[in-house]
Amino acid sequence: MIEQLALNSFVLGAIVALMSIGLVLTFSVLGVINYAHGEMYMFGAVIIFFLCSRYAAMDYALACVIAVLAVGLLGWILDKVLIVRFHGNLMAGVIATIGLLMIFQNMMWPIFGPIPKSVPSPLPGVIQILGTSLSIERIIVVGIAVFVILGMAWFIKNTRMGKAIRAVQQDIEAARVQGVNIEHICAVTFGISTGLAALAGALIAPIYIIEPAMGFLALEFAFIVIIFGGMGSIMGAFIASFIIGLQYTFTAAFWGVEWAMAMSFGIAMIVLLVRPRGLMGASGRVEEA
Amino acid sequence: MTKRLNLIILVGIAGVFLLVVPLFVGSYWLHILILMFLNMALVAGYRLLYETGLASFAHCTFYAIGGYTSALLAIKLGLPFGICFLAAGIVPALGAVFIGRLAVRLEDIYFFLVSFALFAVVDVVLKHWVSFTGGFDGISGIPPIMGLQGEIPYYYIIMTFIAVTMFILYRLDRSRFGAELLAIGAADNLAEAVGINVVRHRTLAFAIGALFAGFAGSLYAHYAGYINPTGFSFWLTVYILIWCAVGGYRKFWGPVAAAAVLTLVCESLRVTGTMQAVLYGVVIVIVITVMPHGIAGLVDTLRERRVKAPILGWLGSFFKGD
Amino acid sequence: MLEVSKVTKRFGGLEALKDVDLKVNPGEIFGLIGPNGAGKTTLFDVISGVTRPTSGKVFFQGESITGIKPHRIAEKGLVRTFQATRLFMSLSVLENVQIGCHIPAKANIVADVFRVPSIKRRESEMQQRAIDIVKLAGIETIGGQIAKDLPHGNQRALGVAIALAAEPKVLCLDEPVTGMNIEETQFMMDLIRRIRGEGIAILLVEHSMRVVMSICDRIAVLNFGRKIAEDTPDKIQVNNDVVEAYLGRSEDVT
Repeated sequence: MIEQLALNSFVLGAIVALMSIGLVLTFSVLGVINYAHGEMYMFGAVIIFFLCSRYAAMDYALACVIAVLAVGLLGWILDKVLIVRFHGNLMAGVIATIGLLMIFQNMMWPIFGPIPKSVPSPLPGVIQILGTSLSIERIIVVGIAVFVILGMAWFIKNTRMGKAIRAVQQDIEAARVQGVNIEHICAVTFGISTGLAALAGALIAPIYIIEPAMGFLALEFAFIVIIFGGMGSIMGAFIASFIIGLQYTFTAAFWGVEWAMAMSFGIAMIVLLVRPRGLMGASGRVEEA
Repeated sequence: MTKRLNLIILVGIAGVFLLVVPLFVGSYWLHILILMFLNMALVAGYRLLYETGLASFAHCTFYAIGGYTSALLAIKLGLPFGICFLAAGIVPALGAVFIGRLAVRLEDIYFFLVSFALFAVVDVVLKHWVSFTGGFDGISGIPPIMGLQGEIPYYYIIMTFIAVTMFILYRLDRSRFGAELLAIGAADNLAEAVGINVVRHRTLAFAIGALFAGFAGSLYAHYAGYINPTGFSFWLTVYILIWCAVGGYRKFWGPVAAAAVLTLVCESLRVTGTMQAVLYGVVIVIVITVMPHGIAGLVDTLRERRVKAPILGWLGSFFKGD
Repeated sequence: MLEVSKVTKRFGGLEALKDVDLKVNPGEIFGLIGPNGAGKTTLFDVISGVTRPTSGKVFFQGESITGIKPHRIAEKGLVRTFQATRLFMSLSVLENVQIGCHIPAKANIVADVFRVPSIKRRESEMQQRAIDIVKLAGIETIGGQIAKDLPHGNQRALGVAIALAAEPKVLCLDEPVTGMNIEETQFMMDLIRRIRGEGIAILLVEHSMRVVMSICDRIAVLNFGRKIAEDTPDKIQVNNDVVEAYLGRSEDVT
């Protein structure tokens, strides 16, 4: 029982980590909070639905890759076309992405239909560890998420593009002077961020239900984590995701889902008031009014 | 000064119009006008803190707390409307002071997130603490104000409230305090360096906004006779933000005008269907793309490019210097 | 009047200031110089309450102001300007200075709302005061212009005017002539002398040696966070430690 709760906590933590790391990247590099981030997550799940169920019986892993690339590309295009006008302008960015949220979510209703759907699990079955049965699928989800996140960390630390991203995060003027193409980096970062969200959605699709409004919940969790872990810190988001995952899952099991959520937000609020930078936060890029 | 005269004429015409409107118009439109008035009060109160550079996500929460406080006091304790109304303003204002004193010290993004968290916590409480707040069904059977029924009396009551609110908030805006709030938004460390207690000013702005939001909530509750959490949702705060951004927060009338116009437009389009929601989203994106800094910003840009359009100039004069 | 006593400031592992002492006497113009990164702005931040020192104290008119919030320090009479031009950009020149009149205005919010006659009177006094200060600062011809449209030199002058409006007894100027041409610099120097003439003591951080040597009564030199000299301008110019500190770095000694 406890082991299963723990595994679920890790799954939640992994999914939320993928979501929140994307948000942190967007904020620290573009200076924008992407309210439509939950919709990218939803797109990931919806793409899996269309590719892996009645319409086509594609291999799940391939479908995941397609989902990530497609939504990542969508993010890249969105930045180039629209978001670029709001880099550093927090309020306008929030409003614009809320507009996108309204568009994306509501256009899915007629396409997708009001009934939540589900996708069969590609890895059914359990394995026996220490006397309890744990779902293989969930273990793999956690594994993939952690692998991708570590891969991201490696990418940012060691590749040229990753270093450029870090440079923009730390001091945009200095980066510009050193010849970094800011717009290009921003678009790529946005694409990475939306791709991560789509991966989260794709991974959760077989485990949970799929519906157009699923992005709200994911976004709420991502916000909580970012408040908790610090708005500028990827490591903070990562750690906070798992802490919140544990807190939420166990609280929900004993006291119900709503109180679990209220508690998560409550914790985040208190942390923020006591330690404004979150666990290990840093500032992001916001323009002087 | 012709600008002043212009303003007085415009306000005069609008005032007379609003006074006689009930004679011509059915209860559906009166209802929409009532909502419009309440939204104007909400955004005018919101602007106080927003102009100091802090965007809060909790304004609707104060509106909700006001409504629920008033309803609960009226129903559970049988208190007369006057007391419920006052309490409806004071409770959120005290909450704002309590949280604000700590929260306003945070950088703008963190403050935004804290206020979002506050919104979320209260939202959950309203929806799930069924014995206290009635959960999703909310509270019904809220006694009317002095036994009045029908749209018309409430129309006048709420209109009077709005007139008083606008008067107070406008005067506040024109006072030194109002000028200092704007200055804090422009350069908070400079404001501090000339002796302005930025934390105190911001907390006060937050609390005054909460006060009027609470009052508005009480009026809404007793007018409608029932309240539930969906009326104070996430989206209403989003709209308030949109009105501020589109109307241009620098001038008092900007957000208020945007609130009035957009409320009328949206309610008459009946934004319920999903296609309309998509349309609204598209409109928002277009509007914010064209004016990322609000109407005042647009007027500035047009001036810079020497665009001459007399109507725009006349309208713009209300949003620029006076 | 203003006394800094053994102030040390550490940021993490970096020691920005170490045991700095200095004293500014009434009516004098005191200069603070040093190579880039010597800690001058950090010292300003400590004095004006923006940061707390790790150890040491700051005294103003005999009273300790260490760790007090910036706005209270301003109320006591110590006002500073900022290095990067900080102005209320969206407001006009006169409006900027009027905001600066916050301290003398002693406003009361409730009375403000209802425009009580005493408030009206005080506000017109403040308007007049703003006009006078703008004249003193030499920028009265552009009173109606919006701050962000002003040329750099005027913006600096406005920054000083705003600080003056706050009724300082000691004025801390952070690099007032940086980025100015010859005329603008001369103008600012005259302004600083006129301010001293009003009885206000001035603490001045500046890179331009010409300016510092010609208007300061006394000068202190910082290097790597430590004070290495404090004397009159002619003695500082021939002080070996000072010369070495500057030659040791590639520094613009104009």
